[in-house]
Amino acid sequence: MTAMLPSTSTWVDNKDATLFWDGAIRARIAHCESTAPQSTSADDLQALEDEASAMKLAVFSLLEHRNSRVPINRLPVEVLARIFAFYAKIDIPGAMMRAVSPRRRSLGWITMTFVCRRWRQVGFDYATLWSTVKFALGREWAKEMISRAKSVPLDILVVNTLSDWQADLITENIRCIGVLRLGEDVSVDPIMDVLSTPVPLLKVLRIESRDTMDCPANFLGDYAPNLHTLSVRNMSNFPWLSSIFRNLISFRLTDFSSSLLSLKGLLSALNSMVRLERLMLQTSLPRYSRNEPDLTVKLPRLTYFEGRDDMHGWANLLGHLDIPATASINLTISYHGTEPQVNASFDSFIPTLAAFLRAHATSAESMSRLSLGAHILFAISAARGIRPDKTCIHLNFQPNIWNARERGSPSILAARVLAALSSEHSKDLSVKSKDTGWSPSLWLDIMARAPELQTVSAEGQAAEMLCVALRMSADPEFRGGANLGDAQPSVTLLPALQQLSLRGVDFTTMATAEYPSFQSYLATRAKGEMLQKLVLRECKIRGEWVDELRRVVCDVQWKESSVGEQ
Amino acid sequence: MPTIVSVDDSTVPGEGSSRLLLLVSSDNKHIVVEEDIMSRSRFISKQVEGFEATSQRHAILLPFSSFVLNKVIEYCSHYRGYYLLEDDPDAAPPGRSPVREWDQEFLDVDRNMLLRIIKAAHYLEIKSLVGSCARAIADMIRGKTTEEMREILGVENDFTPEEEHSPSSKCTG
Repeated sequence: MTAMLPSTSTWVDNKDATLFWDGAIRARIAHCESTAPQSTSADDLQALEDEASAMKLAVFSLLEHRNSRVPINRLPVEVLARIFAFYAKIDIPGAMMRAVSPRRRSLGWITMTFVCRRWRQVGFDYATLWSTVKFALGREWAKEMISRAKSVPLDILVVNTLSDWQADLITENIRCIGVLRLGEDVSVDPIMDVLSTPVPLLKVLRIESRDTMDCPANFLGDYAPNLHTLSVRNMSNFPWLSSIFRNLISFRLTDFSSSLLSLKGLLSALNSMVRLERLMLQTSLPRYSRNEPDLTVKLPRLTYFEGRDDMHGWANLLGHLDIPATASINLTISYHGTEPQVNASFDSFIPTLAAFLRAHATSAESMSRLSLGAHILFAISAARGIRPDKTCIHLNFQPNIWNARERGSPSILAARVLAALSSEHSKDLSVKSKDTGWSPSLWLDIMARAPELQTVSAEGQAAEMLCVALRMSADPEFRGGANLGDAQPSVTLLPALQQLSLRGVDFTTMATAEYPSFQSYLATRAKGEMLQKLVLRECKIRGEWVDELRRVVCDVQWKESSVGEQ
Repeated sequence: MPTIVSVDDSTVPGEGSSRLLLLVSSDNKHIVVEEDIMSRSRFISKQVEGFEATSQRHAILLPFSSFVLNKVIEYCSHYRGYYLLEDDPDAAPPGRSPVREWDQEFLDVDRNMLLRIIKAAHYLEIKSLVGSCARAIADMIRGKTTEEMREILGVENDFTPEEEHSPSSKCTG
């Protein structure tokens, strides 16, 4: 097969297949025929087949050579790899291709390795791309990806069930895994044994199975030097004293029942997490503590603290935590029970919470959100945004969840919460409630404890009672009453008030004297420092009254189209 | 390697708050640009450091056309003084990673021009521009079949039938 090819320029220029045939192929056939004319022997047939195969390969080589000249393939390898990397972020393998076939899954970015030889080579050489193993593509693809990831730590996510072959692959490669995430529907049993082996490369472990899992005796072989993110759920025999916690940056516990968790164990684990920056505890606090540990856990690097649990759990934990004042705190505190139980619990819990907040949330922006929830009969759903330097307290009552017999209880509880949490630094108070248990005395109590309030907003009956309370505070005869103790009389109750927002107040049906009294309150203020802004939303009020208000308030926002305008 | 030629002082005024550089494109267009603008290019910065070592003024010859060079200068001028993340794809979050709005408009050019820009950006070591171009190209072929990708990018199928079937003989695409 050494025949010289004639020049290709003629047939290429003329784009004439006949010329190509006559000029190239016939010459080759003639060459073969000259060596063994009309032969039918196997050797000669093989020689012709070899010739055909060689020509086929030559075609592909020519195409490869041609491809190397197109602009995209003139890019340096590292640039092409960069394009691959971006593409891998936007086209994830494993998505269902329902339009093509109900069972077919998209190869995602792997499609790029089918474009041409060069792209395939670049894709193969970029080990990081293959390290995010997609089980959805099947066993062979998963093995292929693991193989091509070379020494890059693997990133494995299992969302649904963990099949035997998936468990086998995890088991075989556990020492090469950098990220292992098992979703809430995944039973961990098939890989339970391997979770007791050392994991030198593991950085992130999330086990979120809903089923209670019995933690292996030697969890992660007590050797996970790179583990920085750990999220576990519903796990018994958790190794609270393990050394695997010491490098954690993020730690989440979810649904650990009381039987799975002791306060001492939790505190011991937290105490070893000196690098911890994010702590999330979701319904995982010990409710009862027989032997109160004498331990304060310092988490000097904590920047985010989130939790959802009932007040017993929080009461147990909060007193033991020492976190930076700058940490963002997002707590949801719930309670299930009867009214006497709630009242008793609040009485003991609120001081603990208040002490914690005052001790650890003393700088601006540190308390991003506090939600207090007592479901079923006694809901207090939110006291939001405690930022002691510019404190905002938002109470957001969930309507329609109280029993009519208990009417009034939510407000009483709210007042207790406010009284405990509001401080002289509070500047913003918002109360959203459709509850009818509000009374002027509750407002007066709150106002007395938060003299720096600058903006107050309320709606419904709470707003109406606020108006009454403000009017009372402006009454020359008013001296605070029994609830106010040493509070100063008259408008000094809210001397810093700049903005008042009222929603859903019906001034036309309030007691006849209330509107004029409210107006007189604002007029009294205007003699000193005039209220900057009054916002009336969905309020029923006469137009001429609004005109009067505009004389004693800098800016009154009220749309004539407001509901029920007169 | 870039070609560096000596030029007269009069060609490149070098005094003032921001020195001027003379860039020469492959079509021999001389473009004067403030050094500050081109400081985003590590390649140019290294060249300038070299100039300071020799106390000589130079023009920098670049292996791409003035049209491409002007596009790069436009990019550098737009982001003059801005700190840009290096668009590290490994650090980028999963999911769509859109090109910045201005970049999207800036890179609304034909395919070949886009490829010339990314090549120039790579040569000049402007990582953020390489990243933006790479994203734009990735967006261009997103969700396309292999055949469509080939068509968009002017590439022929050069796999043998056996090779084409799958990267691995065991896998099925």
